[in-house]
Amino acid sequence: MKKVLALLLFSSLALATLQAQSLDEVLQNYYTNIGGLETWQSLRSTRTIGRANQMGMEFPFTMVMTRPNKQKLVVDIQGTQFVEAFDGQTAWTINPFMGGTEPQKKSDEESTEAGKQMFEDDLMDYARKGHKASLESSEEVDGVKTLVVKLTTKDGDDRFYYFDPESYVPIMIRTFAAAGQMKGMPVEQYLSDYDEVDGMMMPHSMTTKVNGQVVAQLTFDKIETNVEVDESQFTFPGDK
Amino acid sequence: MRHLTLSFLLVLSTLAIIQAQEAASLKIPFGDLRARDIGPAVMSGRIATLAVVESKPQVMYIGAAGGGIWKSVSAGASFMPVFDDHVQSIGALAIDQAHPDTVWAGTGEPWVRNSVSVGDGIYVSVNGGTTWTNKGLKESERIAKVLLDPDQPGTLYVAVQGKLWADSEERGVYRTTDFGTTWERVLYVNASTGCADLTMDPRDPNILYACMWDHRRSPHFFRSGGEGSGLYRTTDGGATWTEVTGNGLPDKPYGRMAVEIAPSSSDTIYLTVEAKEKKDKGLYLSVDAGQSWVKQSSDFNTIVRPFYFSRLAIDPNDAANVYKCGLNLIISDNAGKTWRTVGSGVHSDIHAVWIDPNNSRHVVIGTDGGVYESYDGGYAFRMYMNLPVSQFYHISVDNDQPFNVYGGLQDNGSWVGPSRSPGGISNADWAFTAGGDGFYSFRHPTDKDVVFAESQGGGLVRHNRRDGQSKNIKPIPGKDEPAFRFNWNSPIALSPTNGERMYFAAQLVFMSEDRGDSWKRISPDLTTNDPARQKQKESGGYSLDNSGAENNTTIVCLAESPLDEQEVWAGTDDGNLQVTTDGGATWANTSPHIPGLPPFTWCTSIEPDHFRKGTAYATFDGHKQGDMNRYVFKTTDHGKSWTSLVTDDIEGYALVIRQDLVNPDLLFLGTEFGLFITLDGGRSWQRFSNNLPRVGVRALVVHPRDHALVIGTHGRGAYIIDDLRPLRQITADMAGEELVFLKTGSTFIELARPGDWFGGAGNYVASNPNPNAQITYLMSKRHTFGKMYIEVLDQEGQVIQELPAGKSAGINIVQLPVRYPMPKAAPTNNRMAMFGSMITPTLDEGVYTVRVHKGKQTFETTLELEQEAADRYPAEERKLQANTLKKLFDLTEQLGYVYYASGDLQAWADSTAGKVGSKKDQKGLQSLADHIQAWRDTLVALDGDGYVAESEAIREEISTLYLEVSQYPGAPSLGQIRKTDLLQQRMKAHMLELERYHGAVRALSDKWSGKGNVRPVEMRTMEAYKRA
Repeated sequence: MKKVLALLLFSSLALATLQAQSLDEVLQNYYTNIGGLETWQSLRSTRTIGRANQMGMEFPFTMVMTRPNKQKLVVDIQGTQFVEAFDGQTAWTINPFMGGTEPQKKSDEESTEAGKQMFEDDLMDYARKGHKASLESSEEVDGVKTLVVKLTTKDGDDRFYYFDPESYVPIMIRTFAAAGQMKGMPVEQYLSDYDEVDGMMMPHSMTTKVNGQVVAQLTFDKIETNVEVDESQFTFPGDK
Repeated sequence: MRHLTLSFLLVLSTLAIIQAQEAASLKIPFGDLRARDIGPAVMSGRIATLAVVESKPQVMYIGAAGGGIWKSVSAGASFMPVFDDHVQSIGALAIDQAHPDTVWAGTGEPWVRNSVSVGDGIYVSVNGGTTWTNKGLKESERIAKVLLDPDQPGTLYVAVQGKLWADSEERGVYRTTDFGTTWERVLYVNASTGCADLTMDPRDPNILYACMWDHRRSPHFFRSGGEGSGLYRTTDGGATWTEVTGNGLPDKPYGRMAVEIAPSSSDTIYLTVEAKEKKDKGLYLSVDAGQSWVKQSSDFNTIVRPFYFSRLAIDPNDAANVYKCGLNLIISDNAGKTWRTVGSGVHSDIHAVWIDPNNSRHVVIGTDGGVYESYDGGYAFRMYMNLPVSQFYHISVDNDQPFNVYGGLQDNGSWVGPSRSPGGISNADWAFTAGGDGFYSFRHPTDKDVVFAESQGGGLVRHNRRDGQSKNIKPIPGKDEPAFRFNWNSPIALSPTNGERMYFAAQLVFMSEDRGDSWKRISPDLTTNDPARQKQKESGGYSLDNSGAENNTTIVCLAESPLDEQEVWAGTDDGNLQVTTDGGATWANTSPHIPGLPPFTWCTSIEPDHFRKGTAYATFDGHKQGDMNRYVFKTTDHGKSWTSLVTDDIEGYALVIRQDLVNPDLLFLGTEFGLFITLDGGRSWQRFSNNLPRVGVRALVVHPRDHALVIGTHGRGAYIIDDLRPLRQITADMAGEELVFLKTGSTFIELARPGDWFGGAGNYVASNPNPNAQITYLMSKRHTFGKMYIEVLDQEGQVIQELPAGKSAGINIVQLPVRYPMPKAAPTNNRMAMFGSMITPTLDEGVYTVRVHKGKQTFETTLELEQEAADRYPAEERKLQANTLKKLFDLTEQLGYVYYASGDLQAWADSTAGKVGSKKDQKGLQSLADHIQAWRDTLVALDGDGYVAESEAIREEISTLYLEVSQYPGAPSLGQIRKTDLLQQRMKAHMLELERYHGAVRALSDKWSGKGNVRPVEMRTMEAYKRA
């Protein structure tokens, strides 16, 4: 923690002296302040235990993610499990709200979208991955005049990262809904409560807003890194 | 390291000094403070243009006159506004049909009525409307059409109609060949002539026809037509143009024309001509590619109001099937020889028509009252009831609970609707009170049924909502009195000091104390009375347009001081701002004392101060004279001197200013481009854009009881900022504080009310105010590192809720649901039971403690909850309900505990069975495990499908009862109370059963643990269960 804090202080000073900044400088400061690109590239898996606040109710959840893009979210709703998972090919869900108690495969479109949620953020080492990035003009987010980085993935999806100019961590990420009636609608994730986890700075609070309205708030109480993961849990149970 | 830290602190303190200096003008991010739109969509509003994706006609874009662009991907079942960050007046839309995610939008409506808004150039979206880029033509003000060359990607032609109220050289036909990076003006006539229509030969995109239109508006006159008007043709993609004259066309000069080449036949061209001579007006047809012309028709709708209706549409599959926009839509199936008029309840004033190339009987039209769609070739139309693009001129409120909003709309009469309604504010919640164009509309302060409403030119009525009858109470000149000149939008003002007094004005001020049955004149002519500005009867140009829209030298603003009934202000449309301090005996014109105000500048609002006599605020607007400057002024001496409150923060000409009723320095300003707020009496302004588009804001009202600001827009209906109290408390010395709570008073716990039935997606439903208690605080800096969260504690000091905190610099509003958290429950596959354990009872009334934990610091405040229906549901009844719910809550958790704790026992027995010595012991353990499991299975119903194949065990019985009791705020029924007691007894038995099994398992555990790899049994405790 101390090391990362010291780096933060250093970059704040750098801000005071630098007039104009390039995209590379912004990203270098970002990597440095979150613990170094190599540290993040050696991260294989995470297990996050947290709470989701939605529509005035709080639900505990566990989320397991591994490289390259497998993930499983289990939300406990009054003893009943709500599940969203992706095994690298197929996205599936168990949604007791929609009357379903059995696992259901999601549509091909939704599976494609789920497959784009990479374990390692697309912005990290973006060029090697075939994505494009650019530094855009400053925008105010949460009262902060942020540094704006636009990422265009090789699939053509745009994503905007809003960096705090003092600490060089993103405080908001804007994506666009990919499908359905909401298609094209901006979806904003506000990130805060950054704290150090095994040498990496990670946000512990995430608020999702659509059209300025809060739709979900996640609190990450515990983030474990490089945990043992039973890969079979990601697989659609019907195929077992 | 220490050195670094010191340097860092130094930098920080420098920043702090800079911040302190800036604090001289008080600006804070508005953060979570949002405007809530309340519609209405029932009458919708003026549509200027529309465009549809031909290969996917369910995808459509609607361009509103003042309400931006709306996209539907569901054939109108639902719409999404996609242009909120930009100017809201839309002139033309064009989809690249080969790449339908590319959409061009020319801004600035071309249907140039007196109240029309302005645009700022041409935009393009390459992602189906998600984001837009301005591609120039920023001084064009209005764009009538955009045409894409289908053969040459990146080549476009734009009909720039240009400035309405001034000369401008940025008008005519523009062409780009590089996707809007550069533009070339390829056809220009003169500084008062723009391009009003443009059509492209479907066979050869290098052939185009352009209708050039010489026209001008002023506050008091409209001229359509002049030497500049004419029809032009190019055959080389705009490089050269030839004027088309003679050969059957009438003699020039012309006014406004419309032209269309039939998509199915390049030789067939239709043209409507506004000529100087009546005999020459009408629809012309060429069947030889413009070589010769024949007059086909002079039907009323082919010649009426060319400035408003000059638009044709030709069936893509039949060149003889013609649609002409007009007061009504007319359709011909014989190339314009005869017509039928569309009725079937479609709003008058048609501006846009789209005919489906894949199904000619599918037609979509845009009118002064929204969008309609026909599938039978234009006989029967259904309306899209979900486009809230209504154009308010004025807004008022009453004091009902919840309060109602009154207002008048462009061409859509006067309406009243509630500020909240069960299930959301829907179309059915709005009631019509008077017809015509609507303007000021007020409810009588004490008589609930009486509404004063107005139509254009001083048509004032007193409407009775009980029986729907209206009495016309417009003042009528008596013997020896001059004719009264009423503005299009004449002012009414209710006295703030005497509920039975109201004011009305023509060029004179009238006062009535008998609800308008009689009027007393309390002023002389307060205008310039300049005869040069009194030409309404001659207005219109080549088509006389004596609608009253250009009535000038009239009074347009009126207000009595809330502090002094003798102080009355009257502002005129020709630059005067008059005040009396003796109830009308004498008047003084104060506008000569206003620095920098050009002569004849329209007074758009006057706001007498609510705290200091003689102080007032005024806005002026010169845009109808071509002056786009901002004019906002304040006087503190009854108008003897004025100072400007304009800063660079303000965008758009000023339309209305209002003062808060609590904080004298809190002012609200509406301009053509949105809402601006000052916290420091006008030294600095900030745009308010949280859910409020860049729309013309013409009306602002601070609700005297509910701390709400009601915003009337000219294109997006009405909005409400529900709680102004946070803004009222912000002072300069808070700017540097880490965290300051802003008080919002007690929260009333609302009763849940059943909402709408299954109306589907087609009807607009606006949201209600947030029912939660709100924890509001101001932070000077965003919180990014370390934990920040909120705890809410009850009167006993128990934490009842933990909430994520707001982290933004500026105003944070954290929602505290006024419900208890959910109980921990056992699983179920019974849907109602699952809902039952999720929908929890409301919190008790009383004072709660709020603690914001931010890193190592804690900030504390309180909030108070009150019950909305305390009188109807007495405390003892609600206590009985609360006690019953508490029992059921505990039962839910106990049952969950029994279920999971017995699971611990079962799992131990099951897993140990394989690890012990003898077969007999194994069998005994397995049998015990099976017994426990069999009993557990009787506690919950997990065999269901979550719908109709469900069963019920005690888990479901508890939760279903819990749901029933929690849904009614009074005493439970006797049956419910008895059933609760019964469930308690049964639960006691299950608890004993758990203990019995625990004893049995514990005995075996003692026997086996430590032998082999058998571990002792661990059954979770109730505390551990609740914590998990």
